Amino acid sequence: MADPVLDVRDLHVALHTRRGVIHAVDHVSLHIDPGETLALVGESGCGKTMTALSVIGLVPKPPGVIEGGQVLLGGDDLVPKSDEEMRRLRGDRMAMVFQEPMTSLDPVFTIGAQLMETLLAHRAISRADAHAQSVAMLKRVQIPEAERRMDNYPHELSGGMRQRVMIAIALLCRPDLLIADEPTTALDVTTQAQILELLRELRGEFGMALLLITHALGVVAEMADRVAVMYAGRVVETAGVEEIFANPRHPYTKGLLASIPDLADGQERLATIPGTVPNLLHKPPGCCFWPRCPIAEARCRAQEPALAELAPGHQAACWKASA
Amino acid sequence: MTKPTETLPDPEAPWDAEAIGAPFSPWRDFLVRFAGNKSAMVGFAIVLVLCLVAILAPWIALHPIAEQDLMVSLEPPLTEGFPLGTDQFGRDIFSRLVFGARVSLQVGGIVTLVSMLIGITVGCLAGYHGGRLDAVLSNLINLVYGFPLILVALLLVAVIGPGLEGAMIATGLVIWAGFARIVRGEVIALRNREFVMAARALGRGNVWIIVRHVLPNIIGPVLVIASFTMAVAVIIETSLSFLGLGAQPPTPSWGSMLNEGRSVIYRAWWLATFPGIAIATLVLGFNLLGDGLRDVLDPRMRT
Amino acid sequence: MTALVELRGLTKHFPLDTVMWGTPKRVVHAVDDVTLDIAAGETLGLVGETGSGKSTLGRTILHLNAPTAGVVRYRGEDVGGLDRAAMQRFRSRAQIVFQDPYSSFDPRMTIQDIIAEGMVHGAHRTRAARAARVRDLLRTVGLGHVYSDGYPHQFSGGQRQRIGIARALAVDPEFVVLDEPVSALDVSVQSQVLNLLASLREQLGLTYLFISHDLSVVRYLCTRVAVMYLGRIVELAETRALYAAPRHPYTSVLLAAVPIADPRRRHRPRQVLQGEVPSPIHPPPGCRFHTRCPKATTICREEVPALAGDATHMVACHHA
Repeated sequence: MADPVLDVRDLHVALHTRRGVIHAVDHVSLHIDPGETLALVGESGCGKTMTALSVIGLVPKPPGVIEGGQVLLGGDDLVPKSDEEMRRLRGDRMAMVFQEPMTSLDPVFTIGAQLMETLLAHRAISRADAHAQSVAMLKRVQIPEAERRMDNYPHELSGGMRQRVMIAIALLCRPDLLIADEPTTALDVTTQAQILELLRELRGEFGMALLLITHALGVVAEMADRVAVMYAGRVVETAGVEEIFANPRHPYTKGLLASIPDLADGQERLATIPGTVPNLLHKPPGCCFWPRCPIAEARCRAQEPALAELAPGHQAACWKASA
Repeated sequence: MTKPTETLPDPEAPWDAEAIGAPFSPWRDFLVRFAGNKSAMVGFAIVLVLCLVAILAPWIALHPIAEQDLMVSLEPPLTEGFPLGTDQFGRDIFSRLVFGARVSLQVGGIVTLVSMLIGITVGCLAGYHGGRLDAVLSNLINLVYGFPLILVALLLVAVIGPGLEGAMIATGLVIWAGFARIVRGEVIALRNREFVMAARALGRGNVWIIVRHVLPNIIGPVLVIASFTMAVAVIIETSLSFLGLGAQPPTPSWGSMLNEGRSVIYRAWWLATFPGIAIATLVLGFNLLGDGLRDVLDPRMRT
Repeated sequence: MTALVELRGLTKHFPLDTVMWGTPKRVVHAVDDVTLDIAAGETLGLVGETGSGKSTLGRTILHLNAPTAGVVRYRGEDVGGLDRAAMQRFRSRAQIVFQDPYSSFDPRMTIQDIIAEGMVHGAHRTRAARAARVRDLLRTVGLGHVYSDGYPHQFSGGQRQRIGIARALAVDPEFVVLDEPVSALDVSVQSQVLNLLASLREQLGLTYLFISHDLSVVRYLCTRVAVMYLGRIVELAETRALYAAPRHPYTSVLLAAVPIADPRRRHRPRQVLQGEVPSPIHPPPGCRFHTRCPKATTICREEVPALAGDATHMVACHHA
């Protein structure tokens, strides 16, 4: 098997705020193989975005501090790299697409300028070539009248179009890894379907690995090869996509899957997870899910379970999962 | 490089409980923020001291303001009995400055209060009512806002005649537009907020909504503008007095004192210098206070 | 089936420019010629994408926006023609819960004052009576343990949404417009609030207009569904019929676009809608969907299709 594109080992990121230390990413390990799509799933505040930001080197410092661990991109540890080195990597070997395409494009520059800027920063090519490649990429992400759109400003485009532009910018330098943070959450369902379809096509064509961050389990089922579920800064379960939907082992994953209303018939009552996501300023001792867990026992309250291999490629951090 | 100290979670804290809205006082929250804001505190201290001086003027002043004594004219500062020296007529500059604070703060305060009331009324009407009334009023606001303040004030004083009343009316008539602009914008934003929609859905009328939802939510920005307006009003008052169109002798105004000192600036620097410092300090105080308030009251700063 | 709410040709246009005289040049056609009935006891889902006018329709039904044309009748009475006192009565019967758990509360009011805001009638004249009622309401929505003198910013999104529901229930309404009440919530919290809404409906015999862009959630809660596109209702049917056999091409693509939480079904053939929603300032003539419709023909470009069919399934399409 090929070496993973991205290998995150025991990453620990803390935010030192006025009111205390938040362990936003709490000893997380992940890996993504070439061409693979890993979905990082969780609710708000579970640390999924912070994990992505530490991979791409955009953790706000302060208050963020990378306390430990490694982020290996093609075997190369990114944690000790300088800002300048990271800047050269971003947009080249790895790129990121954010949730809100309006705020991630600069309103005072044209689409064309922003595309070309990315190319010129990473490649020694002429402006004419950069222009040509930019137009080609806009066409590739199915933006009609690409040539003319180069002169548009972000506000002249719809949300779906802006997200296409963001994807075009991200893919210009053919990165090995694309991180997409809730790329369709701000979009309507028909536009979401278009963007997901586009990502599926491009993923095959460019052969890049995709780290897809989302809270929507439907999107996960449509897109992912493997899934990692995060809760309160930790990865609590990871498995192949079919395995995790068919056979979830962690009670949190089970709860999440049960609580989504789907298009199937005959649901009387939705299953719910009682309570709410814990305040990361004071995490519960032991397993952080036990206050909401239907099967918690004394051990869960005292000791934190580690991720354990339950089946090949299927790990869960739960004392009661192995039984 | 100090590592932030690790604060351990309170072992007693109910980490598994949802928020329960434990006692929270917005007033205390404001005071804590205010006390933690350097610019607000410095501005507030300056304004407070000058206000106290104005209120306690009769007890602080060493001489009656109009007391002339040509024997001691143009004495330099630190002369016995005249800490900041005397003017051409032998009047005590310190005492005149102390009473001058009254004039500046009174004029500034009245002008700000009146223009605030006009500004809030016009701004609320335009913003809340919307439609044609808004179109008419906002054109009016923009027209007045576009006037060069000091020129209009001069023009009005020329019509009304010199004197403090004239200066106040003149300043008030132009300065309200600043309030109205901000209030109108805030009210339009509020009117579309869902809690206002909810109040209407619950059967509450316009008066309730304005009193209960609109006014409390615009107090913050209004206070900020009021502070800046005080600074501007003081500058206009002193400018008019400097030109002889504001406070009339023997009333001591920092502006007229500055003017009186102008002709003897090379012989007796203290005549113009101290009123100048007083004006600058008061204006700075209100500007700092306004800046600080803006930071303290900004809802985005709320954690 | 008796209709609680009847809409007849309800239309709402918003002017984009403020003018001193004359008429505004640009107008947003938010809701156009909507006619439908909401029966007592049913939950009608109103589905559509951004710009479909679904929220505007909800607010116009409650006369929070004055309609540009058409009428809303509540229990047979024209809401637009109500006098002050009758309007007050209407306001205590028809309520609304908003999407955004942040902007739907005055940040300067306590939970007590927020929930008691609608208590304008006799029984709640005293402070103590209001406080007791607020306690009851908080218990009803599952917040019996919270302090009622807290402020909105101290609560989580899910809790705030419960507070919003309590505020609407404070006046003992019969009819509640739920404007995307769970869209801003996390998945696990969303299901709690949906269950709460379902049990309140049973306990209190409420009628809901449930506005949402999420077809899965609508299916869970609603008995009938209306699909909106660019200000018009394109399909109106019983939930089961609509999901099993959508008849409007837009409904079909909308349903097909919903991601399915089952990885084994990911390789199903997909019908992806091309293009974007046209501007509601210049909506297309004829059928408003014709610019993106795979079945569109000349008649679609020229004639507005009427909403037709039987009581269980109506569709506005020339080719249905």
